[in-house]
Amino acid sequence: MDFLPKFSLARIFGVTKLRPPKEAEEWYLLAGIIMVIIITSMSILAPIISPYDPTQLYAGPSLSPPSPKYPMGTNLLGMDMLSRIIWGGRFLLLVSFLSAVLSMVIGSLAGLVSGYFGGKIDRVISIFMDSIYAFPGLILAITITAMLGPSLLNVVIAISVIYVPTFYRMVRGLVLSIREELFVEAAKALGAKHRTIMFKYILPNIAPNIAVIFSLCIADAILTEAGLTFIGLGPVVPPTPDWGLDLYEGWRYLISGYWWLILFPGIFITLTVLGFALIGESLNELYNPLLREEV
Amino acid sequence: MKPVLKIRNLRVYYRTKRGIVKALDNVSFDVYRGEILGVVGESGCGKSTLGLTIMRLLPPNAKIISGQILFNGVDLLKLSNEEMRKLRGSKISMIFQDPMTSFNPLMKIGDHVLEVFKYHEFNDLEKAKEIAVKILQKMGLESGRFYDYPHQLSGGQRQRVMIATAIAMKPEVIIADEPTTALDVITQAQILKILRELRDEIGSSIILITHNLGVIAQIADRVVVMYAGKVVEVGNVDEIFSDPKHPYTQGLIRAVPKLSPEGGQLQPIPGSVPDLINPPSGCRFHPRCPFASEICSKEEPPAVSLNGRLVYCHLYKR
Repeated sequence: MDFLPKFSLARIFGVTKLRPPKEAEEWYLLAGIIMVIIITSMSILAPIISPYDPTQLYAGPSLSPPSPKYPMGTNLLGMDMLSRIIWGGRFLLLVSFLSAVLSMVIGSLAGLVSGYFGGKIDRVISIFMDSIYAFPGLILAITITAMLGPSLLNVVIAISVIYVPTFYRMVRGLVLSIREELFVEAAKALGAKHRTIMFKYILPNIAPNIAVIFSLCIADAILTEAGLTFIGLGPVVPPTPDWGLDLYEGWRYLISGYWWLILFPGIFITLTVLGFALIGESLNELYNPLLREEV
Repeated sequence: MKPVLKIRNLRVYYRTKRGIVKALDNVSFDVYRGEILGVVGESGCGKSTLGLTIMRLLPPNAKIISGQILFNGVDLLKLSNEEMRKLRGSKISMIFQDPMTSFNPLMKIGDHVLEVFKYHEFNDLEKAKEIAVKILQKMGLESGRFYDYPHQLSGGQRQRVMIATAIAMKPEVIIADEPTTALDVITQAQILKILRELRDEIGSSIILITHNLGVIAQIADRVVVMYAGKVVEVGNVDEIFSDPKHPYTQGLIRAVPKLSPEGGQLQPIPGSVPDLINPPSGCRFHPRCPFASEICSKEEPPAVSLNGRLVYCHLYKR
């Protein structure tokens, strides 16, 4: 059975046969990818698809509940919540993606150097990473953001610091085992430089594992970013639309019964995290069949 | 003939939790230009350590205590890491035992061969590719194989690719560490044939490390017999097989199964390989040697020269 339409991206990239998902993990992966694609494209296309300007005051009556005209209701200032939801993922996704990329690059490089060369370098980097790892993530992010001040770049730095040790530990562990593979020794016997061995022989072999951690890391970074915004250390200030910010604003009205102000941002944060987590977890299970058997 | 590689008094020890393993102890021999030198011995006698020492690829817990490895007069053990790297693959290269795990699973066959050229500042990639395809063809792999991944090749094909990478830069010395052990007998014969042709064609010296006397008998010119980290006998292959001098060599040859009807029962060497942490005193073979006398457990046997052959045994001392 051919699962692909005749002209699709997959065909352009040379994938000619793709079967429909069979195992549960493959369905999870598909579900995760679809969720992520929908939410990402919604955020990117926000200027086109949002019905109102998200910061427009009194686009509707103040605090009106969900209705056909305002599907997600309006807030105290009459801003349309649907438009705010559509716009509100932009910073969140950008910040969590950038910080995941930053921590992936730094963590993987450190892990590669540390695991490959071993010895004193390894010990120094390990101690440094372990000391970061010892802190609870959100607390560390709060500390760093509070120190640097809440700007986009600073929040990215603060969040990426949390996840650098995660990449570092995983990459270092894998490098330690792949370093002993015969093909690494064979490459040395042909006169390969350390740089070549690290980037051509070892790194490609652990790339799938990095992809798994990367996806899980984005999921976690979204939560951290939303958390930072919630307590007022985020990169954005009102009235910028942002799920974390709206969550915070809406929370104060919950007790008066204006449930829609907190429900929709909450749902979207959850769905985004779920999407990335599904991708990460199912990739992990599919790439490490041994792990699956053990469970 | 001039030796291309001179190994003198080489001692290599491994640090382990149980103690110091004396993997190579006072090993000396020469490798002449264009010859196939067989290094034979039981498992754990230091054969592979010898290969890795020449390549300077020993694991971190190994230490070269003393000795010289003179390659065209230059002591390899005194070169800087970068100078040594430049020699590896271009002047001295190595063929490994297990062709199944010696390839990066994510790199194409052709790229494996091309890599060697890149490591040694051979920057004309078009020309390198031409040469690589030619070498692979000579090894009996059609040019379409260039774009295959290692898992698409059989063990014998992979071993031929490994040989192709090892000879791409026409090295002067090729160390083949059990190149045929992981292969079936027919493939083994093909690989040996290729090695012999190579030697005739590019004139490299080949150090063939193996525990298989049959392989040695087929293609080697001279043989170094090793026992428990020491050289016990060096000589031409015909002489060693027809008239082994050292009791260990004699035992080894008797222990090879014969197919002829009068072959009779196998005669294994009694005892087992000594522990290299606490090797026997004197001659390391004396606990298993049928001719052992008192002196054997006390003094290390000197090298005795018998018509161009070297035997390390008290029996032949004048």
